[in-house]
Amino acid sequence: MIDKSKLRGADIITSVLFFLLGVWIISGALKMPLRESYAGVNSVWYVSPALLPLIIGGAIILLSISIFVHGLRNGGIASVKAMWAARKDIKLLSDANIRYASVLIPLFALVYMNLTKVDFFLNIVLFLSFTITVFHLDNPRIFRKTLYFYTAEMAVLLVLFVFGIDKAVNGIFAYSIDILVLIMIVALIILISRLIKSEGNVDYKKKFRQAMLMSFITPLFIVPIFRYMLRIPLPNEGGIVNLMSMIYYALR
Amino acid sequence: MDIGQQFGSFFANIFSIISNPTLLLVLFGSTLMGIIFGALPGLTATLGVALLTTLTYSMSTESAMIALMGIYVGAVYGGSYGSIMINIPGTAAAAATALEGYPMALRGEAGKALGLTTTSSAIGTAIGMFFLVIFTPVIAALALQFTSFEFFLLAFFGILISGSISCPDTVQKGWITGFLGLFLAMVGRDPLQVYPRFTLGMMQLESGIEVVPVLIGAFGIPQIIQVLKDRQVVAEPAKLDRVLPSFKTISRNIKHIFRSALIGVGIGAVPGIGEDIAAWVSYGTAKKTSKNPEKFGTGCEEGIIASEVANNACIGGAMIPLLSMGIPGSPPAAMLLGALMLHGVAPGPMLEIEQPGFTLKISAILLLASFAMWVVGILLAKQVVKLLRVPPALFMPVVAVLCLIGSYALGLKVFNLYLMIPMGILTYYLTGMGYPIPPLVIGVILGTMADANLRRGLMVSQGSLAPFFSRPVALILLIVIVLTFITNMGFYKKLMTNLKGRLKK
Repeated sequence: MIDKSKLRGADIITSVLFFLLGVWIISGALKMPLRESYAGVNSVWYVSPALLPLIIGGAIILLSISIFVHGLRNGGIASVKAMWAARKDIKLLSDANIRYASVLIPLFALVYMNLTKVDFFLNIVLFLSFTITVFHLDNPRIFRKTLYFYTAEMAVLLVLFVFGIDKAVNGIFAYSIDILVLIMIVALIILISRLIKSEGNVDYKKKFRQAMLMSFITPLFIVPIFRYMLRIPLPNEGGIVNLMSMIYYALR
Repeated sequence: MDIGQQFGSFFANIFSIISNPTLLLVLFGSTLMGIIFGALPGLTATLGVALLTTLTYSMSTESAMIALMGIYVGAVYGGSYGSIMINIPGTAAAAATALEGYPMALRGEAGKALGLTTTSSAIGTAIGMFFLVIFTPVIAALALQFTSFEFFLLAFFGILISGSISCPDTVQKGWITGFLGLFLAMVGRDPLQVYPRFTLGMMQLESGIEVVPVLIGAFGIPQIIQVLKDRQVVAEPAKLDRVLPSFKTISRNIKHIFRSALIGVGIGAVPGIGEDIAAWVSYGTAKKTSKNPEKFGTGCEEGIIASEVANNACIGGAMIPLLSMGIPGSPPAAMLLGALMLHGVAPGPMLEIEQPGFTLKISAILLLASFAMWVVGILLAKQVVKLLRVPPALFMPVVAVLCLIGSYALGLKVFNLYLMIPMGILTYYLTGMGYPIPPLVIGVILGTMADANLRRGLMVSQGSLAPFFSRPVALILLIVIVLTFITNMGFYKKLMTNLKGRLKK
């Protein structure tokens, strides 16, 4: 939890957001059938689908006002002013923000971008090889450079997916995007190896080996467990998963 | 079923499990997995149950319940490893244990401290199981008399009480997250008129928001962000020679054990309140009532026993409202509710009618899980302690992948993942600003029940609110809700302080 001095300022902001949510819930509920007929059924207020949403919206509005008043009485406005004044000191690319971005960017890329477009095995390796390595090594220089490189790689994929280039390329050869991602993984590994070499820390080499081991072993367990034991079709079965399936069914 | 028959059925359940090597393997394996999960800082019992749920699809209900109860019991106990050996509680439930366990480890008594937590946790779980057997049928029988009005008020009470107790800041924050959870449960087609509510025109939202992805998002993602974002240095664990079961110390503290177990069961039975609060309340009570309160914080046996008995007894307590009314008593129990529903079991007053003997089966599993936990704890403690050296950066991203594949595997919907991430980020920020998450989860789980029962009840009474006041149970619940509301308000607290001040004069 953030410290008390900032908390009341945060309360002011969150209470306003909750208030707006409450208003939106009520306005949405008022559009629902209250007394008029719906689908040929005459409705009455007490069976209306709007009944509980109206109560919820009303309760959220009242509680948000209460939180707002509490924040106001306990130095919330001063806290908001202090936060606003301190905005100039906030560095977008501070170490803390870089760490935060290093959690969120790979998570967003994994789910919203690559999940249905890239082979599941490679998608996980790409995600893990970045996140485990940077957090395990925990060196600000390596952290920063690797994140920039990884973001650039994801930007390339984003362009391919947004403009539909992936479909055209996959039309020529089915696993083109998977091969591209594989190249990206190799490039990422080479970059980190070179950064570690330039740091000259022996401990980093050991940590990097551990990170790589975890990055490749994890999907080697997860994919067979979910795909072949639990028989769950994976979101995207590309080059590697299909290769695993071929081996699995050949051995069966 | 009379008492004799119940005893017979209970032991038959135990025998059927211990005579089946596969089930025994599942029991011991999941308990060990739970201990490891609990021991590793950043991984919680809720997350353990959530991740294992996805692996239990293809299992029978019995095997799945053994696995899930095993990991639940193991994880709540496993948190004490980090508390004692490195002064970092593996789970929030073991935070109070660190106050006494770590000073003991520094004195060279890590083995004794771990032995004490192992035996205390096993006793706590067993006592919790006893209360589960006794109270579940009674409450379920009472709940059978409930009409829609009582169920609506019960859902409302669950949200209100979990918001009141679990909130680290002002109580209104607890309540508002409860209502936020209720709102999320409103998304999708309503159960009576099939009208699409708050779907934003998205087809995927018409069937509503699924509970398990919300749970995984709400409990898993913030934990992953928090652990990775905050640099966590792994301390060298204290030296551990041999884990002693400490029976003598246990027999010396029998009074504290029973008091802590009662606290654990009582708090566990309150909707949405978890093992962490049970441990702290029990620890605080032990300190207040101790003849030597000055010893607390210096490695005191009573403190360890109070915290560990209570957090494990809480498991049985949390199962009571879950099985009798379908209202989870703690966040891991909320996850168990999702797992039960996946296996076609609908907890609630009808459970014993639809699935006779299910409560006894769960009780038998709980008792066996406490035994498995004790055996694994005594024999494998040294090996588990070695895992404390593994830095969170190595396993947290793997947990993220497991959360994703787990959420996806439920119904094979990629959309569940699209929902899970914003849910996780939202709860991460809410937690940071003092908004508790358990009421939100309780709201999501009880929302449909509250909505359907309110409207069904009013339909029967033709829109009259009189049954809220004329039905005895409804009236009691209403009074409790109003009292909970009033006693948490600022004006009431001021009034009480003034009254106390005047009385002192």
